[in-house]
Amino acid sequence: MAPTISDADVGGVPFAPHSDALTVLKCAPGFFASKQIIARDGEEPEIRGFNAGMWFQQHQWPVSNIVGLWSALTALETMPNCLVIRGAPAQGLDCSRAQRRNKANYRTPARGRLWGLIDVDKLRLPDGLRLSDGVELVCEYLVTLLPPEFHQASYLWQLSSSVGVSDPSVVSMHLWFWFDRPIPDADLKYWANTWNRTNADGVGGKPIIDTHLFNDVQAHFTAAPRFVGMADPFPFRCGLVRKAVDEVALRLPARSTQSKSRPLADTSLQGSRGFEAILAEIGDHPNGGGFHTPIIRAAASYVATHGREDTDVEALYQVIRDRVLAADRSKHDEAHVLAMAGREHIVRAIEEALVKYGGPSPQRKSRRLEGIPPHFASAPVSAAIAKENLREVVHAFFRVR
Amino acid sequence: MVEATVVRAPAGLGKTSLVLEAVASGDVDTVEVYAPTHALCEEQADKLREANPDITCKVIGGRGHLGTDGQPLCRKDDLASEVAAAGGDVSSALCHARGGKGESDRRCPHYDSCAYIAQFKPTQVTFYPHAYLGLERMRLEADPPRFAVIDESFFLAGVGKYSIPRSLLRAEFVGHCARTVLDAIDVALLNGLPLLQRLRSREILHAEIESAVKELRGGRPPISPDMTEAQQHAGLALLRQQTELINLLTAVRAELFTRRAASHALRYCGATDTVVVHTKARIRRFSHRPPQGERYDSKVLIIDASADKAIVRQFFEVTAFCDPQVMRQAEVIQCGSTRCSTTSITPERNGDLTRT
Repeated sequence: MAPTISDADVGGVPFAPHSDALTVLKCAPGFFASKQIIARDGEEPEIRGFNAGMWFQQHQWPVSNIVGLWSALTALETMPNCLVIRGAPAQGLDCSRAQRRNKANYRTPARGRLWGLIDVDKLRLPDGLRLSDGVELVCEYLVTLLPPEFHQASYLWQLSSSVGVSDPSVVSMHLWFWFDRPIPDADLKYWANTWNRTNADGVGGKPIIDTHLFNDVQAHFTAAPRFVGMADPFPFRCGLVRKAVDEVALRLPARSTQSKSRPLADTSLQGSRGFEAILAEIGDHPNGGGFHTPIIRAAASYVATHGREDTDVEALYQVIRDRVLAADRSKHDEAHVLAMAGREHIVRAIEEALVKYGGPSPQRKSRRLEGIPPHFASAPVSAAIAKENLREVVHAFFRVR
Repeated sequence: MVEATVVRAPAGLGKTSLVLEAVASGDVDTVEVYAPTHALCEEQADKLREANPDITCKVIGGRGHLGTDGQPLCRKDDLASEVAAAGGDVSSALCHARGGKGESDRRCPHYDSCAYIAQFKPTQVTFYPHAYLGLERMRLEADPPRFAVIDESFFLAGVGKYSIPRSLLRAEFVGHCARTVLDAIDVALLNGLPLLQRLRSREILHAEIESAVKELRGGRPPISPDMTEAQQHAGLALLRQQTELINLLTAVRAELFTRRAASHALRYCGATDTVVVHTKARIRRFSHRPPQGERYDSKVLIIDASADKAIVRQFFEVTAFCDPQVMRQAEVIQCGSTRCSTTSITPERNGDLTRT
């Protein structure tokens, strides 16, 4: 039987409270998760982007502290066909074969992760500070842009692929930290957005922290770029800076009233008229629709309206369960109604709805086909211009050796 | 997959001429140009010779192609067609096979005077019909070129389908490994079950299919140039059946990478009790992977008025897709299908010729 990793293995409580894992995805043969930087005569080097493909074999790398994280990342730096994501394999995912990197297959464990990558993307350095002055100096400058609890904490730095081959006054850097407790993606995202909003003025209005990484399947590119025809301008692309503490005691900002942790008595679960209308259909009353179908529809309606991050599974389960137990059951026996009100039935319906409708566009399912990028036609040009452009393309093709 | 640059531009813009112009400049290394038919290859070769008489070029014909003497290039072209159709390696089966330790090489009696063999002398530019794209590079051929140009829509050369009787799935020559897999396929097809789901549930995955393919390959009958034609013919029937099963399993194995439950590659027809197998060739002739020495891929340029990125990506890694939109004075439609070339303009079949 093909080995499978169950929720209990990675998504549940598999690790000791202070240990965690990196989900390492390995690209299919022929694909790479590292950029390629190619020297060009008299011009800036060409930077070829990532092409990691769609299919990945997954591996779980246990890590238990910042030093373990450092040794894992040092190894990953030399693996151009590997990347890291926060998500762990979903329950029942067949890990013996390559799988796509999507939210149906990988989910960040509900408790969160002990590690976090703070991606500083194309941040302009202050006058007088350059990477050539020393990477540590730049790292320390970046750390000062983070909240105070980061200032005395150990961290790992990793240079972004384009560093050293583009504008020296702009820096892109990865800073990895180890937290004192697991932090879910939603909390990290909320924290980062709040910090960006209140502190962007100091860096020219640009967000300091890229929040896209706090996501189940967002790729954390860890491999060093591949240099063709030129030497790597930075022989050391990552390092560990030890400080007074190894763990960041992250202080999360207070949530607004839109938070998913709102109490059940609140009206958060009444946000959708469709949801309320469907709840009213539960039962055997004259306009009722029975139990199974309205429960599925109610879960789908709520998730589609609120999205994954604002859906509190437990709260939603309680609301639906209460309505099931209170509904007219004149055409069904007691055992059936209890089964319908059971956790197994309702939570499963909510989880399936989260997979289907909990994505970034919950209101409307995208009609885009996965893996096929949209096509935008360019403005038409005259035949003479098109031919001239074509000539350049053809000659450029034969020029490149 | 090999990387490719794709140019999609309207018919009549001069894509092919621009490529020939660049090749004729003489600055480029070895080039292979792939055109849909042999006739188009000849036409392009003539244009190239006209543009630069100093450049050496040739057009590769198939074994059955008629030479200047009106005879097929290969004296055994009928047998060669059968070997190729059966999935055998024509070159090692009929032309030239290396001998084992202490044995001399075995060669076809016509080898030294063979017009087909003679055409593989290295030149700067070689023109091939599209049919060669799906074929492995033969020992006779030079190493992959630095540049390859594929003119016009090529993907039909890479896909195919054939039918086999369902009884072949339970053929006697099939060994234990392959039998397990083929039995499961047979049951699923016969009962209309989702094939891929069925295989996964029976724990028949890539490794099991790979073993089945290896087993079938191991049992292939040997055919060599020193055999008589009668002996060579005798081995072909079995070879064909084994190849059909190998291709069937390879198609299913590729599908197991997808998440779908039902197979798109296999279709069972209950009325005729046959299985239709849809195949897709891998284009491997542009990768140079010697055990020692330089390893490289040819740089591939695809020029096609109707190129589709999603289709090209089935065969190549598309690194650039150039798609200029041109203001048109006229709509030019290229007819690439051979189905509407001759029979559709036959008055007896279509009645009113003016309509066509």
